[in-house]
Amino acid sequence: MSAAEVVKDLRSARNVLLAAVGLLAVLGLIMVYSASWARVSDAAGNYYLFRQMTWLAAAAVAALFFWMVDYRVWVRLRYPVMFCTLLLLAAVLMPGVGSRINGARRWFRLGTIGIQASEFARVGMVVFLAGFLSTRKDKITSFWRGFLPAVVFVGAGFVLIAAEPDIGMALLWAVVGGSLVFAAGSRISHVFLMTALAVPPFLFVVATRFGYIMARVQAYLNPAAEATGKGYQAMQSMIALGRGGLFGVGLGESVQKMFFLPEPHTDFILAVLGEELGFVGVLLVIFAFVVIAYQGLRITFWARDTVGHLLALGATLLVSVQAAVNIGVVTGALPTKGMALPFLSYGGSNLVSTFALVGLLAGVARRTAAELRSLAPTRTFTVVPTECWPAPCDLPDVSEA
Amino acid sequence: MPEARSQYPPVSPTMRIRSTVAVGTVSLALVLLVGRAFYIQVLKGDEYTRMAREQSLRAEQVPGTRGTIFDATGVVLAKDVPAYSVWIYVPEVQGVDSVLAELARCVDFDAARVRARISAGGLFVPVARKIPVEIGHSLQDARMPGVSLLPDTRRVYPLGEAAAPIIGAVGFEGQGLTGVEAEYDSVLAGRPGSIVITRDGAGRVRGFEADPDRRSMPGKDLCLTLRSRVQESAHRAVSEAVLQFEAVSASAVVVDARTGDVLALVCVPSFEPAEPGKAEIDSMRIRPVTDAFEPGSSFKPFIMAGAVELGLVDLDEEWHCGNGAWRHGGRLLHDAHPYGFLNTRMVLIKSSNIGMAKIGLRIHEKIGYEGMHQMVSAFGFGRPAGIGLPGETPGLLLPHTRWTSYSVTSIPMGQEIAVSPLQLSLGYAAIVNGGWLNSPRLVDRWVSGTYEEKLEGPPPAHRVISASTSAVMRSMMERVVLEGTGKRAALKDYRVGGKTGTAQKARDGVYVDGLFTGVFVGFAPADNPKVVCAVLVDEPGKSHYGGTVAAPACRNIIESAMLDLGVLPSAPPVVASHP
Repeated sequence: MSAAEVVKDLRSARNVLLAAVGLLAVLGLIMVYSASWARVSDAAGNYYLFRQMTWLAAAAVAALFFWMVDYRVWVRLRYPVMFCTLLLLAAVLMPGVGSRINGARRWFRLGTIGIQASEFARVGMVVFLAGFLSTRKDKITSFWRGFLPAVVFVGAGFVLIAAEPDIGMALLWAVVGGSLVFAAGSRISHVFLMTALAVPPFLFVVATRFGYIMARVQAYLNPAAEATGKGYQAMQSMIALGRGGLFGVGLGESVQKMFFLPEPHTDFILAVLGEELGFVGVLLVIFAFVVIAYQGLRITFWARDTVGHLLALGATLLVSVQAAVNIGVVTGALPTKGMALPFLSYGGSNLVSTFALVGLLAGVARRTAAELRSLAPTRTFTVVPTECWPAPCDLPDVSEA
Repeated sequence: MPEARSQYPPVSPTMRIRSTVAVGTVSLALVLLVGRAFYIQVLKGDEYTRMAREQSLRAEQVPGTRGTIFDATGVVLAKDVPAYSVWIYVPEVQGVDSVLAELARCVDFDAARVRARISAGGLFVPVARKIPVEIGHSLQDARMPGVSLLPDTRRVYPLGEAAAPIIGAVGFEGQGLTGVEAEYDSVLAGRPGSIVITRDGAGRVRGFEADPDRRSMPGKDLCLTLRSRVQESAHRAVSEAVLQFEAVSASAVVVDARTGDVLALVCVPSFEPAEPGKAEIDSMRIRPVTDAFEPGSSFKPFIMAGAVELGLVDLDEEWHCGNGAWRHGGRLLHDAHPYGFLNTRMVLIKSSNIGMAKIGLRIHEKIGYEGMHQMVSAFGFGRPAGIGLPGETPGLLLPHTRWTSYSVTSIPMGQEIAVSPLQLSLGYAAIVNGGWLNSPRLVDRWVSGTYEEKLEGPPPAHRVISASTSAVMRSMMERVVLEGTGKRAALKDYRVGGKTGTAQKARDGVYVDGLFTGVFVGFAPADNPKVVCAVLVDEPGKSHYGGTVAAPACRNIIESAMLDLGVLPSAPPVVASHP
């Protein structure tokens, strides 16, 4: 594929990406309004909607920022970013700094708004790993000098998030962080080794320390038997979806959002959507996420350097894995864990950080296209010797050969 | 063209492959979740919908609307109207005490009972039922968290106390307790149905609608023979009499003279039919139907009519009334005013006890105890009149085998016998309407939608005296009002006839000094009676003569009945020449 075609492909990827994101964001506003009004008095019926719209504006600013700033800046700032990320995650654990809600210390409370530390830290994680793994590209196959430092960083974040506790977000962090280390070119054997070493202690800690996780796993394995107990959330979610049927019961007509679903406007917003808009609505949402993942992959694929590549991959994975986990929980395919559905769930931290990731993706596409345009002949077509051609961007990359 | 290669390493094919694998895996998971959603929403949709219904909908039985009770003119006497019941959902309530205090300001309820149910662990607790719609709406506007309203019905009685004893009242579950409501419960009662209540996850009511498969059916409407305007004025009249003469109670019965249709039936003390729980049991009795009293002089016309009918006395025959006292057997009889000779008419008109006792002796002499007993029972005494209400009294008429020699003089004076005002008014109707004794009729028909059905009427009237005897009695009793003891019953525009009665009350078989029953039975127009009205004032504290305590009330009632029935004013009465 020629550079011009790649530029065109990138532009199309960016446009489709933004269209899908816009669709989900608008759908999110509608569903947040629909799912939340039952929980508030009529006088405050727009409370969640207005707050979400405000957050959406902030999220758009964040997206624009990451879109416009050259992503290579983050490589130079990788160590301050790492420091800030871990500081964020550590600070939220401190009593008096992070506030405790429902037994979990995940939030900084600033007046009426709450900032969820891990939602922003995950952006820092992607930025740091992309910078770190790119600068250590030649050493990545080395266990001690490349692989281990990255894994230690991911592990530290994982432990801090799990300590909040927020097992869902910790797993997302580990999966995406691990994927970046893997994609950067680590040895398969190292990845297997690390997985083999990390999983048993993790399961042990979960089984002993976090009783609620086990309860949820139990409930997951048999939701109907515990419909009123631990399996309540999963069961109510499936009832909502089932009630929706193929075409839904109609916007605003959800019964399950009336206190049957525990978090109708946040984690279980897809259940409300599935009830009101039916399988067709759920299909649309999942399709939009698949489209976003595919556009993310296109941008990842065409990235000119490892930094852009890993940034784009991290952003794509964070959004799509989070979506898949949330949808899995809502459909009862995974044990219940508190995780927002990107773009749709009510919540400022998730919305802003997810839009920042979208901005990052668009930014990578923008720099890649700009670079390709600077390389490709644009005004006149002149025959030049082959050796003077810029490095082809088709596979396989000649520079590797 | 400058070389603008990045200072960072280029992307290797390995990275691209690995990235593709990672994103592809997630995408695959997403696609698999589409299948999962399809399985839940489409394949298992019905099952989950059923579960949703089970947990969010709850059927609650609601009574069918009870039939309306109308009077003969189509006025509502009792009707179910929409209402609400108030429930609280305890977990949602912000401070049970403050909410109950807030509710207590506009709703009447038993706070102790509500608290007991809450402390017994009730989550969704009824607070008050049958509250008026307006109050319900104001509660809805107040938007108190945890307070829900459910549909209910409430029975209203526009006439209130005026018709309470006869119409009766309903209990908490809408079952008839007394009066017509109890007697015709099976006709009036609706078939209960279900409403489906939509409940949210926190247990609060979000809405409700009728279950289409089990709709409640309204009961049938009843149309009575009562006329509400007569009923109201009768109630006013007897209430005034009770107040004015400091009586214990009073009753009045108005019947159609020709048909026996009950036009009004009142008594005081009465009760508030909307709140039967607060009524005293005593005030719920339909006194004119259930209570018998000694009729005294008001019974004299029956003996007189019987004697005239059988030709046992001559109308112009003179009777010596002993100048106020006459000893018969071991008993000394008195008249209120001393009379010497009175002709037969004047014995009744002046209500001479001694004259009546002598007529009684004549009757006994000619036809014996049995004949006299027959004469009395022919007018319907000694057996229930048959109005078809609970607790109807047969009155008291001893079998003639238990009569003594005193009986033949006592009964003509209205002693040794007990009658109910209803029996009395029907007996009078028979005397004045040409001789036909009717059974009383209270319910005309029931109506269900456009279909209506007459209730089985009472047994047909039968003749007890001849038309000519009836005419004689009418003119005699008109003179009672014109020149005798019943002057206070006279109306300017209508010819009224009637008879007073004042009976000493007996307690435990002994007459008690100072305890009286004042009675007046009137009819109008005197030449062609349309209505008969019996008024009984029991134990008046001031005065005691029937002509004083009962006749004015009777006059007012008759006047309103004349107006209500649209009877034209009569020609002035032919004033009979004094004998």
